[in-house]
Amino acid sequence: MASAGSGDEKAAAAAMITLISSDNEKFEVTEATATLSQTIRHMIEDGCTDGGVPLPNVTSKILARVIEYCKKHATAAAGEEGSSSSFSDAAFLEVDRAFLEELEEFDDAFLEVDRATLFDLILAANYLDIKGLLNLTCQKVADSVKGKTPEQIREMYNIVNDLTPEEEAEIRRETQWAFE
Amino acid sequence: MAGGAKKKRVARSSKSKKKGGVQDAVSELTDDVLADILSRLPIKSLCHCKLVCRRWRNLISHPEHRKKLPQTLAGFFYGSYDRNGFPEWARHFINVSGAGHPLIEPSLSFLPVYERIDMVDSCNGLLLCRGWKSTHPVTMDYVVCNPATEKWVVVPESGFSSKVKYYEVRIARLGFDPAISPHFHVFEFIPDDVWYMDDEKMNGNSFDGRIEVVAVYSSKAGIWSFNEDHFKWGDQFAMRTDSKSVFLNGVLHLTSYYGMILAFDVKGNGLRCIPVPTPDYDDYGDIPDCGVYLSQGHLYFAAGNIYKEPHDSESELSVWVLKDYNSENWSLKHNVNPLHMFGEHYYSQFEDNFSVISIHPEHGSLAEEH
Repeated sequence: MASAGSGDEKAAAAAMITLISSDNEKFEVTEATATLSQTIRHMIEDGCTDGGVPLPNVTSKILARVIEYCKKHATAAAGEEGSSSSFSDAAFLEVDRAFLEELEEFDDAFLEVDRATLFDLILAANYLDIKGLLNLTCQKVADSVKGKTPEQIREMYNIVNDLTPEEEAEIRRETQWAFE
Repeated sequence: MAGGAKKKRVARSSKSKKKGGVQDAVSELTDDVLADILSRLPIKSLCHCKLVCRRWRNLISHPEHRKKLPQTLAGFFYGSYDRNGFPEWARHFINVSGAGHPLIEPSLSFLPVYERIDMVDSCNGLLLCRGWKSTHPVTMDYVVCNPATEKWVVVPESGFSSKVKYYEVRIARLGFDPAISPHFHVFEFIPDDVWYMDDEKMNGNSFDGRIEVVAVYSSKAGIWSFNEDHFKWGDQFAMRTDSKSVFLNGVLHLTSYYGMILAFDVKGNGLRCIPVPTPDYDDYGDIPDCGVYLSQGHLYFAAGNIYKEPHDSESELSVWVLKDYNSENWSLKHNVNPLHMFGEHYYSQFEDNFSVISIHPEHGSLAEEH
């Protein structure tokens, strides 16, 4: 797999981008990893990444996790490109499937974080415009809300109920079937 | 353009300085992200989320986000006729809750101007309408619209839809399932007399109103296709013009005469004939108040009692569900006596003047029209 486009990969590896977290920590990543973020991709295209990319609202703790995700998925993207240009024989497909399973396991393990971190990851994924990560983290929150009562959801996420009893009664009346 | 987007992002980020903790985690999410999360929920969970707080309720109710969120039955259109009223005929919309302002503006005034607009069918939030033009002889357009977003599109002429004999109209149905595809299909069932209208060789033939051709318009392809071979094994069929239809997993189901439910794919191929659970039809092959419905992902069939006598307290409405779609095993879900359902007072007033109009898509309860 690696031999397919080693020249290109070397060139990509040579182009390193420096990301700077809100607490001023510097992270060196390959362009392939960084461009999973559409925000950074645009910055590279505009040629304004010299001297590093400051990310004033992503802490080093969260940025490290985001980079971990991007590295893994950038390899996956490179693997996909490789496979399309190679013979797609059975052995190769087998490798692909194994890799996809590994990626799924990685995603599952990646989501094993506390709620505060999960929300920080969502904010970072939204800010950096990383579709896959946003998808993954939003689904995790949606799964946690699914099947819960309004009271349970409020408790889980410390949300204050600011609906008046009349408003609540009206919503219940509109969608009575959902509460039976 | 990228620079503009960046600026906006930075501006937003400075507003939401991190304080840590789950305390205000949700409140820091932008409306778009929160709507993204909510759009992944099944409709029942979404209803519960409306009760969480004002922000969530507003977000779920907001027309901009509503388009992305799962939807359920909002209400019904209905017509009324009053000889002393003006206009004599009016169209209304009533919310399922029976309360509040109608969620939909019933006049459909956003549509292009026609002599008259008839509603033909609805499917998952889209409406199929017939817009009559004041030409001589009369011609018509099929117009498909979304009354919630007020977007509409005129379907190109099929070549048969405007061939109107004795003001009889084609049976037309809409197939739309946003979960499968953003495109819709219009099914037009062309009877023998219309199909052969211009064919001189066929003059003098006796026509019996059976469906000769299933025409299907695909909004993706932008063209009509005509399927004369709709049942390769040669079954013939005819349908009531008010036969109800269900679009399930890309397949249109409707009831035909003689106790059959027919299933057509979006190419107009007849896929299945499912016998209805009640073998009782009248001499014309008709079953009173019969129709197919969709609820909780299953196909339902409801029918009145053919042996019903006026003032008969035994008269019943039965509802069956086809739990295993690939089987023909219907299970009886309800036997309803309208007398008990509406109470004696109402029933004595309306008696035979009710019909099933829908089964709640998530809940399985009946909605009836008087």
